[in-house]
Amino acid sequence: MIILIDKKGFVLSLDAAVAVVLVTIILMGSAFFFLKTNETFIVNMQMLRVGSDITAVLQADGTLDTLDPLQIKSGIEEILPISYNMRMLINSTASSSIIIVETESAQTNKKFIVAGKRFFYAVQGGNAYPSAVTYEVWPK
Amino acid sequence: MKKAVFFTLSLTMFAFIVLSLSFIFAGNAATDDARFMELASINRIYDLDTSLQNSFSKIFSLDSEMTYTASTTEAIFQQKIPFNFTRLNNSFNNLRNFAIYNDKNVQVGLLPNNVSLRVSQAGIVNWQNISKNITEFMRTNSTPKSYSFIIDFFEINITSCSSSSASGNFSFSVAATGGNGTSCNQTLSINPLQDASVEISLGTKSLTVLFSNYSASVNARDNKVALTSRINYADTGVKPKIFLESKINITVPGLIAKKYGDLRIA
Repeated sequence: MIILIDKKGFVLSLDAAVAVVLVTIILMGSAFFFLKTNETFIVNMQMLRVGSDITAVLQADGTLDTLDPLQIKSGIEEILPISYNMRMLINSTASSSIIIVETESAQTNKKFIVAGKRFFYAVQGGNAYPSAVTYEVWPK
Repeated sequence: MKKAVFFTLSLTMFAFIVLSLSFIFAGNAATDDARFMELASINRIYDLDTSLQNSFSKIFSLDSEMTYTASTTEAIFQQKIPFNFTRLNNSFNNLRNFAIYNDKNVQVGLLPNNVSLRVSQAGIVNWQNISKNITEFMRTNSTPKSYSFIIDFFEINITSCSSSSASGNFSFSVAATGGNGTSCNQTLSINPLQDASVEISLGTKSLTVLFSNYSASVNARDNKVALTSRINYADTGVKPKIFLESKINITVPGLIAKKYGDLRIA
């Protein structure tokens, strides 16, 4: 104790240094989470844009109008970036059931899914049918 | 001793600065989720809005029996009179009801009984008085440079053709063709601030093209005609957009996000 009283400056400095180390660890931790969240944010936004753009392209080039799952799947696979999976659920007055098109048969693990919806007017054989497509995109 | 105190104080200050930074980082990370939700909601509104506009545009081009194009200097409308409103209205309502039923955030206005198209940058409005077989062109914020109407009466003979106008430098022309080689061609240079008219008789029926203060109308009454209308205007610089005067409202619950959109058809 006497030794420590003699070295008050040293003890104070040691205490402060420990405090700095602790605070730096806290800072690094929060910086890590900050960067990780930022990265996730960008990836999620990109997935959302990919889903929206692919659906818009398939709507514009008439692929969605066919309501043919094989053609739509082929259309998706042609432009979907390889790191994502996509599913479309098409609800059309031309079909009595919901048409499901997906690039992966089921989700194998819990991943974040982004989703959106677009309406379209399916023209088949001179008749037109109001339809809606819900798209879902998730990482592989 | 003073050096040690100074050193300790410096370290403490540094620790406070680092701690503050960590709070800022943590705060930023927490708001990212909220920002993603906002942007995702805006994306959802964008998706619903653009897809509905595309669908209504498709309906209009399929069922209105009208074609419409606009360049930087001229708008051309081709249509049949009487206007087939029933078919267009049925298709419009089918999609409208489907959209409202499938997404509670979507509200689409009814198609007005008198269809009105607006050529945005050119400031021209084409208005159909469907019950009276009148198509009218009005200016909103610009002055057209000339009007030209081409009328086909589907083989009904034109018996006479007359015009009245005050002379000026505004170009106003009507070219009509009927059966048995009959026709009516009136190319007038008129005073745009004075009234002008062209009257085409078809025996017991007649058609009138009226001009008044830069607005023009074709009154087909009980005739069946194919009409091509060309309106020239000062160069708009950019290609004008054509809107149908009906609204789409889209809201996303939980966010203060709403979009009130016109229906763009070209």
